Amino acid sequence: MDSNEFAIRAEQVKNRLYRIAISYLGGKEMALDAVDEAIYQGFKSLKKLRQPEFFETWLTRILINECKKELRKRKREIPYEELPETAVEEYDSLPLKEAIRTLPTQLKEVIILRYLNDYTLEKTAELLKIPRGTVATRQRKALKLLKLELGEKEEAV
Amino acid sequence: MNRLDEFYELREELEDTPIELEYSVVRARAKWEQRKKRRKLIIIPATLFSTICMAFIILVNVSPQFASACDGIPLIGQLAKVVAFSDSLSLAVENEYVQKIGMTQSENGITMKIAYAIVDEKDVVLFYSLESNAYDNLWLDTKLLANDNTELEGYTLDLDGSIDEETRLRVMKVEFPDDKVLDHVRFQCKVFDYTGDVETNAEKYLADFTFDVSFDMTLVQQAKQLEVNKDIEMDGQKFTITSANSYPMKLEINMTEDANNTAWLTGLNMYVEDETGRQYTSTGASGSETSQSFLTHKIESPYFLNCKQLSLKIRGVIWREKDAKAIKVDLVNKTASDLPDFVTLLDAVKKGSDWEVTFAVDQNGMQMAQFVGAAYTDEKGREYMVHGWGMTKNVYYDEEKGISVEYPGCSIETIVLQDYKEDVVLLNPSYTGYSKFDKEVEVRLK
Repeated sequence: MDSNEFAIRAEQVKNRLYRIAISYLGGKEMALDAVDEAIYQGFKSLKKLRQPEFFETWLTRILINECKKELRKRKREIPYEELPETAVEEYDSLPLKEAIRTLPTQLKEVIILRYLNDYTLEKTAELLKIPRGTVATRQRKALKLLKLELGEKEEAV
Repeated sequence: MNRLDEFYELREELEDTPIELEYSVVRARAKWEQRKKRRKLIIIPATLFSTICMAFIILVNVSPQFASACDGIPLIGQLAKVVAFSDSLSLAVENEYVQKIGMTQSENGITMKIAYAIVDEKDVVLFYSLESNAYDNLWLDTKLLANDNTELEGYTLDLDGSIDEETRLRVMKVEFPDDKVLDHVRFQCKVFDYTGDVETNAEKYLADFTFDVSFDMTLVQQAKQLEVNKDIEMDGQKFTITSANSYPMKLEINMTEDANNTAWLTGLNMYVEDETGRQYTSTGASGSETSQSFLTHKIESPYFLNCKQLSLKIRGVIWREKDAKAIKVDLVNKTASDLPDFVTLLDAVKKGSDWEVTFAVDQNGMQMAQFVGAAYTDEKGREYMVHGWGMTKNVYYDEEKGISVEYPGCSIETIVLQDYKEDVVLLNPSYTGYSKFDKEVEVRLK
């Protein structure tokens, strides 16, 4: 894939990238920066993309890494395994947007990809490089914390 | 509003994209293009910085055309284009003064070939290629070993980053300063992908090749030696041009200096001219253990032209005063004291635990090499070594502001102070002044 083709395909997926970025980061400016940086990193390492059919997965992973890099700069968060018993009440008391934003990253990203961006379980597992079963576990845990009854959606992306 | 309503509202909200997103790809592409230009000059780890006196600019070849067609060894005739940058090497190739080596090794999908060599009594030039489908900027960390695998002493390696498009060949120059070229040399070549990032680049080797290369010394032509012994004076400093030795790959001019000189000679702006008016340009200089001056100067070689006359013509000279003070740089406040008036501190940027310090050196047509010497100290006198240099011409890319600033006629030099914890650094200038002569200083060599 050359840089012109990359630019065309990046144009096609930039809205989806932005949706993921703003779900991770919350703010418009930061989300735009993350998208810009991901596409820039894509141009830079284009020659390492050996299978163009994985373009979107590859670029989305770059974006997710950028978002996580930004999140790591923020306050240290509690791993979801260590959340207190009272966490369900605490999340329930928050507006949904705020509750998702404050979820531990490992849970939050499953909600972002599965329910806000309609990725399948398989695709989410591929993007996050974790087993499908782990995605399912985290998804259940996150939905429970958010008191959100959405069921097992399987919209194909 | 219940949780489900909130969820659907949130999804709807995410459908709104800001107008700025329209230009994301354009912005990213512009940044990439700009950085690509900037990378023409990249930070070179100190371990790869081959000669002390020559500013060494790596032209990164970003062509995607990996020549799978390069399976065979290119023909000698194709070498002419590879060595077009050097008059001496062009003349050597023209005169078929080339030895075929033809060695190939592969590891981890990386193939290295040593195709040809040019060998004279002091230097060896190897034509080699390094190819992979997975990496774009393959580089070598090379050592020369004896048969018992101990590293040879006193050699200099010059690895030019340029790659000839057609043959995929690159050039490696090995200089043997004291001893003659050996008839057998073991080249240990460790390969890495040069990303231009000092932190992540160094020593992640992707392949490790060892080539036992034998040269046919019966084909090596003898040097032509000229006794000169002529005294010259420049800016009140006295020197004697003692001899000039002509080898196929260089003309070497040797000098001695007067012990009463107040400055070290750190550069000469000069050339050699033959009776036809053909000019041979300088290719570098070297020092010795006994002096801080560069007293051996190398020039493109007239070896194959059998000239009747040769004259050395000096246009200017670069000095370092023997009592020169260190340059004190306050990294935090970005100020420097005792800088020569033709050098400006542009920036001091903290990157992780490293500092990158950048100077603009107004060349004034003098072809000055890097300004900052290899060793530096902190205010307590603790010694460190510069971790890497970057050199560009005329343009400084200010990362903080995201803009390129032009400095016409200047070389822009960035040094990396690795893991440096102090706020102030004392740098050693390689030179403190220069003179340009209205009338060239001329010495007849032949």
